[in-house]
Amino acid sequence: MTSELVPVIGLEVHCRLKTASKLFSACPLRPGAAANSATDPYTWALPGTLPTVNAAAVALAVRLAAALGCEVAEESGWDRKHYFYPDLPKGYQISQHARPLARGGGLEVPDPEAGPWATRVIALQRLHLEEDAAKVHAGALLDYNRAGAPLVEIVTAPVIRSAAEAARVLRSLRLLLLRLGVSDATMEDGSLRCDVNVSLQRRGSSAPGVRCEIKNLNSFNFIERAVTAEVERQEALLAAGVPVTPVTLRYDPARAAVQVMRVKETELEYRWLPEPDLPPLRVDPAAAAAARASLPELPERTRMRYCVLGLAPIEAAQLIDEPVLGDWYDAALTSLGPRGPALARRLCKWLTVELIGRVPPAQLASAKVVPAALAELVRMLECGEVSAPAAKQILDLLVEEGGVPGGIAAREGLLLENDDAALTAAIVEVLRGYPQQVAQYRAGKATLWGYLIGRVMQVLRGRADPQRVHKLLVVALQSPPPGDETI
Amino acid sequence: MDPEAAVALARAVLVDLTADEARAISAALQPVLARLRALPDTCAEGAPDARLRAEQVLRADVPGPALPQSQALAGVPSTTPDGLVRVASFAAPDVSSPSREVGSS
Amino acid sequence: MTADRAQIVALSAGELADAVRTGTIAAVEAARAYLAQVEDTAARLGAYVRTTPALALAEAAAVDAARARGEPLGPLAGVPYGLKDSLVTAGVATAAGSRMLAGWVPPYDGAHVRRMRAAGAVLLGKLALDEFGMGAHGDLCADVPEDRFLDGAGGERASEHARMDMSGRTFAPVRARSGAEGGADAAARAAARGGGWPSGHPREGSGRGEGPRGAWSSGHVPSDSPSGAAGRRWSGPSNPWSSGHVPGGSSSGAAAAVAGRAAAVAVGSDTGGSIRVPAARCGLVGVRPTWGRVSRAGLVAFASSLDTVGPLARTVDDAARVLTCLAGQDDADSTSLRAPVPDYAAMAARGRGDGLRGVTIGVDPAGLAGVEPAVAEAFAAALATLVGVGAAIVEVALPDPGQALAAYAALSAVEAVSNLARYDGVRYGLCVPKDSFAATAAATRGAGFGREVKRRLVLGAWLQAEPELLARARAARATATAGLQAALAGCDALASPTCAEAGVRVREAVLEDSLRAGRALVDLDVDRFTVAASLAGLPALSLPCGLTAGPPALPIGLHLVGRRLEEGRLLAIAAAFEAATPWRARLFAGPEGA
Repeated sequence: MTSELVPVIGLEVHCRLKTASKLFSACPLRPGAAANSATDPYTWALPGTLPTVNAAAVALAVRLAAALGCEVAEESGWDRKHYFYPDLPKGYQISQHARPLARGGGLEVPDPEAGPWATRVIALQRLHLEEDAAKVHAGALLDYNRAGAPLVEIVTAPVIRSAAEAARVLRSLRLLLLRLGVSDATMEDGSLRCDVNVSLQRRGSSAPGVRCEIKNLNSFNFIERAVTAEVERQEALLAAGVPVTPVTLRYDPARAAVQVMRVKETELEYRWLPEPDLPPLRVDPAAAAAARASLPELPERTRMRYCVLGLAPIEAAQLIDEPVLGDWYDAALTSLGPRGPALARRLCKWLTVELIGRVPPAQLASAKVVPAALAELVRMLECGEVSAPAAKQILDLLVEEGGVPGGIAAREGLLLENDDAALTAAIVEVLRGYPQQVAQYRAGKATLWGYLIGRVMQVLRGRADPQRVHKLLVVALQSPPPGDETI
Repeated sequence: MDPEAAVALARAVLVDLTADEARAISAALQPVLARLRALPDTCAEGAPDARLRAEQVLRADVPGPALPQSQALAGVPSTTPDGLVRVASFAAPDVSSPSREVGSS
Repeated sequence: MTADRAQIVALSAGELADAVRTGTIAAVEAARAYLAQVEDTAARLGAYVRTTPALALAEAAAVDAARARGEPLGPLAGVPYGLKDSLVTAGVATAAGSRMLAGWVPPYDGAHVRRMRAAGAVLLGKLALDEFGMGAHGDLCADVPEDRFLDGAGGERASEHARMDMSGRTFAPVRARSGAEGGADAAARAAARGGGWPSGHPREGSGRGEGPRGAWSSGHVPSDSPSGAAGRRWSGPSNPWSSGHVPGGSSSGAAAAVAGRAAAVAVGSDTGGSIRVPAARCGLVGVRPTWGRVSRAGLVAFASSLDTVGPLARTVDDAARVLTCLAGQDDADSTSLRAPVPDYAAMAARGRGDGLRGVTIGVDPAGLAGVEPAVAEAFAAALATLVGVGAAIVEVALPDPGQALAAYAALSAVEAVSNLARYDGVRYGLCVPKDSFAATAAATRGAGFGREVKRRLVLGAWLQAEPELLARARAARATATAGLQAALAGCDALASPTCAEAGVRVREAVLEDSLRAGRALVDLDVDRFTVAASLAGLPALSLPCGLTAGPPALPIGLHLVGRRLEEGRLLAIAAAFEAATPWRARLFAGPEGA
């Protein structure tokens, strides 16, 4: 019975836009400032204050809408959403209800069940601007610094199929926000927040189930666990023959369970009113087009590029999920020019294993070692200019003091002997010095090969590629240089 | 609208009414409600917007001055020593924002 | 009244500014004359809820100093004026006629005080109004001056109050208030230096705690005395023409002050008729500009899509001068219009000089049904006067006032519910602490809002649950707008009386429900001629067009509505009319001149 039911999930995501001032007033935004020290008369909803729309907030929202492929409305509207709550200074929130900034579009997310590189597009319903509420601290204490901060709300269609996918959607959105530079998109500081709508639907049926909403999930893990708990709750209700009623829930991490907060509001209860203090918001179609034209490579396109470069899915994921790493990698790759694609995989390993082993990702941006230096080191390794152990030694020094790997290698005497004549001279010296062993080898004692190689490497003090020495030694033993009668 | 309805409506917008006020207000509103109900059920679509469409006005994202905390809190009825505004308790069922987290900082 | 003072307050604002500019009268002299006038009329008029003598003298001294330095002076240099107390002033308490905001001292200046100051005008104080601008008569001011300041430091003021209150009047004499105001001035200066946020939070129950007040000498009794007040208490200013008649609302203090020579001009606000109705009742010129023409930044909001700010003045020229200073785009109000501001006084002067040849004025004869005979007579005479200076009268059909009034009642109530939602006792203003946020807010709002405000909030709340009726009200607004625009397509301005009745008697408190119902309708109908322009956002003005035979002789208002942004044309018509009326001098002399 319950096996015929499939979850249908939609997300409402709020993310705080990265602006210097608030959405409707010039009040500075100062994350981490002392309580109620970053406010102005508008923030307190003092009588007589009026909203003025922040151009940067609009621009960032349009950029995000462009990246999500939404249709940006030439004219959108502002509406007041009313509810009495002490964190809402005006007694209403200015939002965009009847005419949102943008509609439609979609977010491309990985679909690992369909294959390691597969993706699917989660359809979006709308994207709009609104102002944030004050922060409520335990004990009914309020900090109005956050009140009025610019938020963009993104509402997905109810097309998400599992708790895991819900978490993936939010992760993908976060990466997109970071790539675009429109938000800090950090769940811990509340700059990314998520409500989840969950209903159960009979497989193959188009009749929607009763929707329940889980509010304010503030970590990726909680989203997955909360949705799982809610699906189980609804399944249990239906299995017992109890109809699901529309309720608003909260996830209790301590009990790993959802709990009902109240009956879900209807739109009527918000007493929506067109905002009389603001004219309609106009976005020039040319500005929307310019926003589309100036988009960076979006994360899922990057993933495809890494696929083409031959990275393993897990390597690509590592670079994409950690934007600092991905950006560093791409910078290093770019510095290699046309050699990049050939070295891509090796570079990835050296970045994600060797460098990250020495420098945590968070410190990468301020590290002494720069992307081009790592790229050059990888190239030197590939070209046989240094040995792998020497490369690690050079990397240690790059981390410690910066600089270029070639210079360090030369200074430290870590460059491999590249000149065949010099290598051959060393080989000849060894062959002359150990005539007995040479004769025994030639007579068939193959085990002496390693001995001879070892002597040559000793003469070269390790500064040669053993493979190369091997090749030259074969040649030398088979065909002594002309005029040399001693061997 | 009887006085009880007036009390309930006032309650919905968080206004306490005395019995006397409720009676007076419900009496005073009777003829007004009658007039409103008598408004024609016409569709005024196509009629010009009553408000003039102001030109697009956007504010450059340049932060202005913030009110110093002590000034901002000067008129607040109750505050904590570290500058938070204290309000009477509000139970979870009051919560109705789509974007709120309650908890520690 | 000394001769000097009499001469100064007899001047129009324009004449006074010219005299200050030429050095004939020092701005400080003008300020002193008006401050004395304010003090002398305080008991009789009750126009001010707070006076700012120290600020006025400082602003006047600044004008004189600028003149001494040879700097150019503003167009209103040295003109003493009052601001309706719904207009925010930094450092000077602003309460919008409500107990809810008693003692609230704004930390910022609204656009209006800034612009008036920039023009050289001198602020005398804050003027009484019906609570949050909600009232047609001027008898619903809940911000009773003075008594809210009785606190620990108030003993001195209380005794001063007693000393000054020998007249038995019920409101604060100027001197008694100046103590509080001096503090406010200091706070304003501190705020200007960035050194202080001068906000005060009233003690619980302040503004209500003083108990019954003495009788109003005129016998003026508020319609809805707060329960518990055994005696009569002050509920608003008096009409300078007749203490037995209301001054009209909600810019009641503004009208009373200017008509009573306690201000040269005043700045008021108009939502459904709140500048025009009191201007008509007190024999003044009152202009409601096009919505968006004057910034609303700093206006305590009542119904944002209807609220406007404009002048009340004794002459068309004065009104035009003040409007020129107030009008114009303001970054702080996103709905303010960018259209350039013409010199309205120059446009008025052209009308006065050139007459109204080629000007057509529309009149809807059907709209005059039920108008008081004295008003109808004065209006007919006014039309004849307009024709006499060259105007052509054309018949037009105007929108049904009944529907417009209903739409106005509905939409203003719904916006009021929204705009007044911020008063919850958490951040500023009155707080009546209870054991939960919701209970605190409900108790605070229950105690802080007067009955008329609550009536409108209940109406608004009812409508929010009736979206279909709300849609009908919006449609009726659109219909009224379209009707006015259609009428104005065929003429330059629409004319009507401002009010259907010449004066409304000061009323007794009603106790019977049947009377309440009747009174509610009568109150609504006060705006029958003014409300359509409000709904349409069009400019309108009221100017005096006669007096009743009396006694007492009461002013009658002529109402003109113009096309969008054509305030100048309305003022030109008004100026031509004003110049052509024989009793102009009588009206300008004011109630005292009889």
